[in-house]
Amino acid sequence: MPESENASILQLIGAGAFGAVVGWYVYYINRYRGGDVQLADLVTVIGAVGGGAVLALFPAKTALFGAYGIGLFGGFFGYFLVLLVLVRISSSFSIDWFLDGRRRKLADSEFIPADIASTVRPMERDRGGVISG
Amino acid sequence: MIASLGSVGAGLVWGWLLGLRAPWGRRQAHSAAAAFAASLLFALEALALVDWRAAGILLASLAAGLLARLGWRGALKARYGAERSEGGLRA
Repeated sequence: MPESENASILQLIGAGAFGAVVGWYVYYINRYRGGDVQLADLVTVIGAVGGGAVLALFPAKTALFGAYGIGLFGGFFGYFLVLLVLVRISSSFSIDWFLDGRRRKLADSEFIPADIASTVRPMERDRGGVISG
Repeated sequence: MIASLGSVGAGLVWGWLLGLRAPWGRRQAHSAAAAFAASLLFALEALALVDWRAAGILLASLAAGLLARLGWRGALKARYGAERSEGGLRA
């Protein structure tokens, strides 16, 4: 019996899309977090990624959990991929941005509005001041 | 098939997240134990929702995601170290 027989295509798409949103947002939250990664952050993340909502939404022995996991992967690493592509095609950034956040200085005709949220670090700040992705 | 792929995806994401700060802070043993417990809970969830094979795949993928993350970080560190040995950062 196919494992997806208990779930309709629409349900599978919905579970996958839900996972994609969660994955994308987890990466986003991590990128804009205010401080170092703490254990509490991991607990929060596991609550979001695999918490009660997943158990409550997806009946056992269906393919919905699998569709959710596929979407989670797509959303999370999709964000990372988009970041890589944007850095690659931008003339203001290079791969070194992932190391320490370096970028070109603004031209005279450019400015960054004060209310724009800034990433505290490209990916994370390691001990000793070295930033590593 | 979908369940296996989903377990791989979820495991890779969780492993990558765990690798963000490995070793996990000052109280490393305590944090590592908590991370292990959280991972075990995630695997138990896969066991409850799918089967034991999905749980095993999730744990294996978790390890792969963790290694991928550490590899990515190691590669960037190596690049950073190489630049420093060449006489400083290229601004």
